Amino acid sequence: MSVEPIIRVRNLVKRYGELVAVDAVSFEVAKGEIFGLLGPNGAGKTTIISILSCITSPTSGSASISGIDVVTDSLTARSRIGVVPQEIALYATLSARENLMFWGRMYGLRDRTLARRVDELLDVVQLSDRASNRIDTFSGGMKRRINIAAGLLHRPDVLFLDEPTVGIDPSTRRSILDLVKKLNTEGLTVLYTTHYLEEAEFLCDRVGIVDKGKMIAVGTRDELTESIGATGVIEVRADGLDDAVVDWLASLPEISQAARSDDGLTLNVVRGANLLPTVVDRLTSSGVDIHSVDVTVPNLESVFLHLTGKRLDEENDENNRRD
Amino acid sequence: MRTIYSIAALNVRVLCSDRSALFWLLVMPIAFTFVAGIAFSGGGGGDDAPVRYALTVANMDEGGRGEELLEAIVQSDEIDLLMVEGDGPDEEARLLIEDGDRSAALVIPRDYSEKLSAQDPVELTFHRNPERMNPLVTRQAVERVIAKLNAEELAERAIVDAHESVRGTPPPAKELELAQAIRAFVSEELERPSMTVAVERLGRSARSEMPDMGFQHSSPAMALMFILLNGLMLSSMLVTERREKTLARLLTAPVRRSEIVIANLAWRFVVGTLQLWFLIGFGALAFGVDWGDSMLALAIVGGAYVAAVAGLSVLIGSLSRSSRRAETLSLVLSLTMCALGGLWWPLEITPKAYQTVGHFIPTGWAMDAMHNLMSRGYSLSGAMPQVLVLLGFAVVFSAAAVAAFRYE
Repeated sequence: MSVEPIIRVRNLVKRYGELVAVDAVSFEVAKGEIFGLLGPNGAGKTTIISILSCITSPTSGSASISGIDVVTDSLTARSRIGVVPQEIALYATLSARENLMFWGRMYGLRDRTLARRVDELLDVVQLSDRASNRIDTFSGGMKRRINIAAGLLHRPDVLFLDEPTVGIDPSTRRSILDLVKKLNTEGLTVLYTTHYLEEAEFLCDRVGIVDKGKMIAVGTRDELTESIGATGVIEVRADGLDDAVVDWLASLPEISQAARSDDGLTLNVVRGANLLPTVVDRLTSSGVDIHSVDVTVPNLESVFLHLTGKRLDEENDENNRRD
Repeated sequence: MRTIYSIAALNVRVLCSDRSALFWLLVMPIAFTFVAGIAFSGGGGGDDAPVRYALTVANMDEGGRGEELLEAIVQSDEIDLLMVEGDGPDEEARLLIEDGDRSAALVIPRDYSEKLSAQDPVELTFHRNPERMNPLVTRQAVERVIAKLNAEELAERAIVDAHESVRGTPPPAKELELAQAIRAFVSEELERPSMTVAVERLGRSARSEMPDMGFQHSSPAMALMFILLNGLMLSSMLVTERREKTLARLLTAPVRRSEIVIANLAWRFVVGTLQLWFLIGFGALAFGVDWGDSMLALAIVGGAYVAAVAGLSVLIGSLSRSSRRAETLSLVLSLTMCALGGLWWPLEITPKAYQTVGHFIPTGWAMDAMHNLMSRGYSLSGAMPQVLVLLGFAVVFSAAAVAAFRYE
């Protein structure tokens, strides 16, 4: 990276007793970039954000925001960041304006400057007409937007968004993603954590893939997909799959990775444009009941599959069950 | 400092947005003070009717003077007579008291009239059950009647003796006339004694009316109780802040952890102090409560107590994992401390061990200090030991709260 990064993380480690939540993670985020931390639930994304937000101290390693160390000068570092937690961390019985005024004061804004900034942000999140209403009368999407506005009041160098779309409906999710995009086009640097591949692909300039506390890959979408050497992805929705047929497919030289899911099979294809008939023949001759077959270009799912041997949604389900 | 103020002000605003909390802060203390004040105001029987006590009587007198005595007792308007009839009424009256069936009995002997006529000393017997309070009142009433009759008797003898020494023994009709005249004179004079003591109240508290003793006790007691109850209940707001992640979010702003803890102690102190002065003002204006001679002393005592409650509130909020647990713990602690600290009944009427336990907790010391200022007429120096103990509680609770404070 040629320009000085806004976020610099070096060999960050966080242990909770025997558990290593963050394991020697390093990455950098440039000014004006949307950087995504992508990984399943429990991968360590929130712990990384907590360290960068100065809530948690690292066991070892270093992290800085705009050149300011988050451990040794946390008060200054905190004045440079805006944090939007996963939860709606607002005072439910107060109005949107009262909430924003309070959070603005916490960042040192006062009087007319504060009032003006609150008005601006209510306008940005399109809630000026509901400014005087209590938060507990808002819909989930409206709360999310005020939650984001509260992190922007002091014009931070970088905004941390920790899974801001968890548990909300698709249209609200879309409006949140559009808002983040809009803020970024106005120059805001964003660190965005998610376990949704499509969000990372839609939003992020670069993505860091996190699994089991480790940063297993970092790059743009294209860099990451090229790194796995796949030229295509075959997704099969089917019943009656067994291990023998999956192993046979995985042994083909044209296939770099084969992974089963609850409803089918995903194959990373490295070469061979005419591989599809072979796959279909083999599946049908083995008695597999095929519902659909899709051929797509490689995406972040393919990358995750390549790196971990599992689909991301599969890992999420597994971690959720464990939790 | 501005950050502390902003966090404290926000919490007060959150509290004010909860109408039920305001109801408990302002309305309920007044309602309880009123009810307890009425209950402790004395009276009984209502409509200003004098209280009447029961007196068991065994009248064995064979003359008519015993009846005269009983008539005089009844006319005192303080006593109802329960007559014991039959053989051996003196023994039956004694047994009634001994067995605890009655509390007091008066036995008039057989030779009562005879001895009085012979101007010999005569002795009445008063039985009382030592476990009851009302015999004391009954005995005083009987003694007042007897004192009056003695005075009349003495005056009669004096006027008859005087007549004999000047004009010789009066004829029976004249003697009767003299006796009736002197008894009427004495009776009338005793109604308007020639010597009385006038009590004049001076200073700030001088008023035409004495403060109502019921409210004089209930106002400080209910104020202390509701400051404690509401103060500790506010602990659940800390749990809510932790659950809703607003406390953790504060840590991502350029705010020192010490500022967050101090703000949490400060706003609870402010709310408790405002509540205290609201109740003091309301008590003085609506119930005529006399809060003592020094408002400064009252402020210092109240401040030390509220500081202790604020520290305990933050401590409970820090230790509790859920709002429900915080509220349950607060309720149990509040009610226990009210009972043990003498807020529901004076510690003075409780056993020694109970009083000792009452002084292991802030309420006992706070109530002591209030009594010193309001009832015993002490100034600040008289309440200083209690103030120091309360400040000690405040320091210990606050230090524990700081150590236990959790953000997530």
